[in-house]
Amino acid sequence: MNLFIEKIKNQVYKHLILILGTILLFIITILSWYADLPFLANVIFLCILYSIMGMAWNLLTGYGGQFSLGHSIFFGVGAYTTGVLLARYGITPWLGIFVGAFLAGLNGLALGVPFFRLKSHWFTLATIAASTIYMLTFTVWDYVGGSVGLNLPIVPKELAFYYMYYQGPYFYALLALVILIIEIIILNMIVKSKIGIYLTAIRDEEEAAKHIGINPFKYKMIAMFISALFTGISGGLYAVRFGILEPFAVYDIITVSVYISITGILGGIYNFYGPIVGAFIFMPITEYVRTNIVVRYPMYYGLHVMVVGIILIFISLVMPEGVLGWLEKKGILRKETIIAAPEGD
Amino acid sequence: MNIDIIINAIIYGILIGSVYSLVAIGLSLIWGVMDIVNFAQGDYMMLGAFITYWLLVLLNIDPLVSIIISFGIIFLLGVFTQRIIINRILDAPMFSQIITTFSILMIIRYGAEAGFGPFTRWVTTSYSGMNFSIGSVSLPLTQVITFIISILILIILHVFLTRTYYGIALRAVSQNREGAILIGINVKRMYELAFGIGVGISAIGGSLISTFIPIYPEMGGYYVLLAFIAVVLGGFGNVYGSYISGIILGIIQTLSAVFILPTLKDVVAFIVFIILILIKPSGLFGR
Amino acid sequence: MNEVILSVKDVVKRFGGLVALNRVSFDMIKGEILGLIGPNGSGKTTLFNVITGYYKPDEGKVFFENEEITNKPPYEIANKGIGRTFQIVKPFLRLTVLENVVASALLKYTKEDAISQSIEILKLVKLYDKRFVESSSLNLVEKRKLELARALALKPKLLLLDEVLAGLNPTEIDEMLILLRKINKMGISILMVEHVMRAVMNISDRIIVLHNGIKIAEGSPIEVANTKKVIDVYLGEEII
Repeated sequence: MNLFIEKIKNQVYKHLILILGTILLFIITILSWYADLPFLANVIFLCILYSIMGMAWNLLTGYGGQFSLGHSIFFGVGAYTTGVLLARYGITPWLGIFVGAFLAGLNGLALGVPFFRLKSHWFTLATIAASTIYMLTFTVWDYVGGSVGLNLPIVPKELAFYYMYYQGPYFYALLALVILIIEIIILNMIVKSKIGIYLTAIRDEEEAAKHIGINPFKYKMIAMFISALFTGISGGLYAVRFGILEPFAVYDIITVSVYISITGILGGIYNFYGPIVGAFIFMPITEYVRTNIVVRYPMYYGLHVMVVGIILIFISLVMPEGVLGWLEKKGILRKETIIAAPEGD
Repeated sequence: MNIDIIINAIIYGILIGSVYSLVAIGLSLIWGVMDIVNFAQGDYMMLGAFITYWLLVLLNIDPLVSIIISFGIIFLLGVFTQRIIINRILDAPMFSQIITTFSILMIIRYGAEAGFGPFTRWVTTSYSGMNFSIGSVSLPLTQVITFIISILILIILHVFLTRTYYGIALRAVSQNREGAILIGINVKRMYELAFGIGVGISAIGGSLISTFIPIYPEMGGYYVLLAFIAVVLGGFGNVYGSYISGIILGIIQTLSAVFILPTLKDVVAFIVFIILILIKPSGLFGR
Repeated sequence: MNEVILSVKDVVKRFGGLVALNRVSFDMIKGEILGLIGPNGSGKTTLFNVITGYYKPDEGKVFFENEEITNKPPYEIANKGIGRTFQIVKPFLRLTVLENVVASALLKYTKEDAISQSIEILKLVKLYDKRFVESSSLNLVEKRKLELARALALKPKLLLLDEVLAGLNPTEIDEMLILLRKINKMGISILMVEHVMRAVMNISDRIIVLHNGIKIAEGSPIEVANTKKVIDVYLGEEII
């Protein structure tokens, strides 16, 4: 029993920052609910949402070496599946979100088959082209609302839980937080496992990896499925939070796919928590600009995205390894390895 | 299905395709000389369109005259971009390069939107509605002029690449960077030249297209994707292949609109793109 | 025991108009060290690539322990017990030394056992002290040993070494040769491509000579060194 407690104590100490951060976020969200601060809670919601997607994306990119700019596909499939199941068939998002995630995963596998034979920027180009095809198709597909989009129903309070329909971002932020924690636990296990080690081997030297018994395609597909799965869940969360789905918004290359990649690149794609750090840095900035300037002066629409571009240029030129990577470089953070060296080694 | 409709579609395809060709030539040039995939290519095109617009509205300068000014300004902007930004990421890992050009894209596209406002604008001149008749066919004058100018640009570029020192030096760098350095070519200057010309030609495409299509700050995203298809089809690095492929792409589009659904014409183009990447990324004309 | 572990039969490999391997055939005996020599461009690395499944031969077959492996993908062949090193070392650069070897050991072991197995192998190749170092910061001979360790972690029955001595100084070469003899004594057959003549002649039980994709000699080191064809091909070079 003592050993068990020791083990728990060990885990807690190791992940102290994470646990504190989670508790902090949880408290802030609850407080903002009581204090009626929707902007704050919405920013938290978006930060967590992009964290979930960024972590998922990074499994494929940072660990698997495949740079995708097509993750809006999985976001969209997750969102629309949740939305359609709810709007057309009255199926609760508590189920719909996971169905959407699973479908997103299948889409990922379907795309992986032709795309994983492509190297470097060809893969990226293919993902961009594919996401554009999805956008265009959803624009003309009446079943999902076409270019007008899909509106989720507004329901009375008694049905709020079933329809996951709550005022404001508070409930969704908390739900997203729970999902993020689950995702972190799952991804941590994967990254430290055979799958994780194999993925990094494939990323670093695919040819050598083949010669030590690794089937690159198989493991890329596994990474793709999980990556698409969690991105799909995020899509579902987005759908219930905002209640409106439009193909131009949901499949947008810049505000979805590129933003997701920014979380990783800003935070550090070779760092496990990189995407979370990245999301929590740039999301508040862009949201602040959007709600304080753009909403007040609509003719400045676009400023909030331009700001992201500026942040990105800065990172590309000054800190290409990302914030966490930079901290590692400066010796402030210990270098991240899968099989950790014991302290003081 | 009337043969006239098909011929009509093909002709319109050629006309609109010539704009894709201009954007594609620039993309191909930059890709070939510097090995940089410029995702912001369409946004320089947008800037060209807006320069033409503002020159017309503010100074009453005719669009066709403005293309020279448009080229000049964007050429300089391109050189500036290369010196300040691109030059530093030439040896960076691929995803870093891609993200950098995307960040340039975001600054230009959304900066223009914030600066000019998210509105759609039209460039209208005295000849905007005029038609050019050849035989029984009647085509919009502006589009015909666009096509003719695009051919002129191609010819000028050809002369430049084959008969001037800088043009030949550019081709040398695109074929063999080390060799070019060895024979004394200032590679950094060549990169500036390539990037400047590359985005400048794209800007000309923007200026031209503004005469017959409404323009808006986010328009670049669409055209850069089409330019990619043309470049992959024509063989990246191959400027002439890119031009022809732009035209072919235009024809594929218009024929798709006729035979399938107008709303799906782009889907066909992108599916073709993906198939191309999977089968023969070196394009129809190789490199 | 004269059991045949590897059998290459009439392998032909073309690249466009160039015939890199022209009906190459040989048998390798279990437990032996077989040296593969020949001038640059004679097809040695191509032969390795065919055996390990990286290339498909245009004609001919490859058998490992009497099972045909001709068109199998590299990861299956690794699973069957063939490990290889590369001429230009390919460590997993962002992984530590230990992680590199563990990645390989995971083929046959669970993670816990893979780690302990890898530690043993690292001790064998004398890289134990650097086990937590990122592999990109190793020097050449260390990277070579890492490649070796990685191949050994597969628990192979046959090891294909591609110029594992290239670029090493005499002391390092001797160190490597001792290591290879130790590995061979553990029961692992070794097929090695080498240019460092005195080393490969010294350590090999038998030698095969390739020239322009054709096997021009096969036999003991002494026999091969005295074969006229081989002397002609290596005109001017000291063989022993």
